[in-house]
Amino acid sequence: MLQLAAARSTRIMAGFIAATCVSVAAIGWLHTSHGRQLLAKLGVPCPVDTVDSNVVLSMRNNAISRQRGSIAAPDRPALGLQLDRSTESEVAEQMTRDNVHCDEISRGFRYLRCRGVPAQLLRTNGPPVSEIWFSFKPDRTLMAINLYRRDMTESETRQSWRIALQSLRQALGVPTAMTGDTTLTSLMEKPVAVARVEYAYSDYVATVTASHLPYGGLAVREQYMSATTAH
Amino acid sequence: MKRFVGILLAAAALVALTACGGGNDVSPPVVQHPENKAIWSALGGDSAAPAAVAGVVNAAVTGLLADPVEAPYFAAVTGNTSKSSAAHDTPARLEACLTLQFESLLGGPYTYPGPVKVTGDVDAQPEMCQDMTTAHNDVGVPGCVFDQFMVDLVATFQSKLPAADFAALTSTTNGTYALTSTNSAGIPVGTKFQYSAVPTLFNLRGTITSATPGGPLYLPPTVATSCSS
Repeated sequence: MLQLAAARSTRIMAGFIAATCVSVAAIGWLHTSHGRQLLAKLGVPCPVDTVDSNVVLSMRNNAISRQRGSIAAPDRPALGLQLDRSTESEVAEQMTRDNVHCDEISRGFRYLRCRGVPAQLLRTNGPPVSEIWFSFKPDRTLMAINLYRRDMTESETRQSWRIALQSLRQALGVPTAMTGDTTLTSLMEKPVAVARVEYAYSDYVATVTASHLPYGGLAVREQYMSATTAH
Repeated sequence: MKRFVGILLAAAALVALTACGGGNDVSPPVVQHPENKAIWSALGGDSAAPAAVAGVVNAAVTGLLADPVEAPYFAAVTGNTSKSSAAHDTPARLEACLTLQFESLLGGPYTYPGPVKVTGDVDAQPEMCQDMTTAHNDVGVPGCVFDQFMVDLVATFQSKLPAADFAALTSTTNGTYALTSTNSAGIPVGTKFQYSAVPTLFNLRGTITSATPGGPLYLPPTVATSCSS
């Protein structure tokens, strides 16, 4: 009798363990890109795709208020566009006019993301742009531009860095903060290094960052952000 | 069967007695990364290093959340803003857990994951940080966002730490600790660092971005697929 009960308990236990293993494997697979594709087809979105815009806006407002400076910017350069004024449709129209293909993305905020773009089409110079993101506030006006150039050669990195810095210096003068070796000499030599130049005003933050890290190789990112807190 | 029950009861009693007698005991701090103790000492040791690390993490998180491209990934884990003990939580908990992680990684007497005090928490209980896989397994962080965080983190470390400390942290002279995670660009896999902090951090990439197996393949700037979404 006891043996029968023990055998039954063992079977139940084995079944439970097997079910747990299968569940864990299934949940794990659902987090892979293939799993997420399946979930998307089933109408289950990735969490970041359904982020509440008010939550992300509140977080962003809080953070930018700690990052910005105390005086207004003399100018707010943003690749020829106007922060807080240019609308999503105006930027999209300009990109279309300039033959730049962009994807519309919504993750709390709305974005236009354009990849593999010749710099001249973005009204700047230098090596082609890996990605450019135009971020929009809930009222669909331009909040920020992030421009990335990745995996560049040394000369491309220096050129990208120089052009971005010259452009900001002409418009705004001396940076409000600098980090690392801004000549980029040690950036090329060291295994993990970043150089950064920042202009932080009460209504505008621009940052140019050159990096040499395990991923992305030699890269330069330009950020032009409105620092006004949106509602 | 009776013997088994007897053993179980005896073990339970022993545990209960141990618990009663040990109420005032404080576990000795565990240094999870003793190989990095020199970095911790350089940062000021137990008296000054925690504040230095907290300052670096605060600045890095501020930079991340101010960036509209990166911020939504952190908003995705803020489903519960009223109490910080839920699985998906607040920027304050993120910052507290990141601080603990870096205190541990930089050779301090800490272990990650572990309990943290969270600013603004509604109860007095410490909150348990999640391991890196659990914390990220349904956030869908793309490799490019992870990399951007690393750039911001390194920039912050570089600006906040004394130059000699940052140089030591990133030194490959007489290196022992290697980058193992696969990468398609930048510092080669196998590069050995003097301290384990940097490679440990970068080797987490595969765990954090496991939702996108293989991560993004970085290609020259003209190629449109230079960073997967």
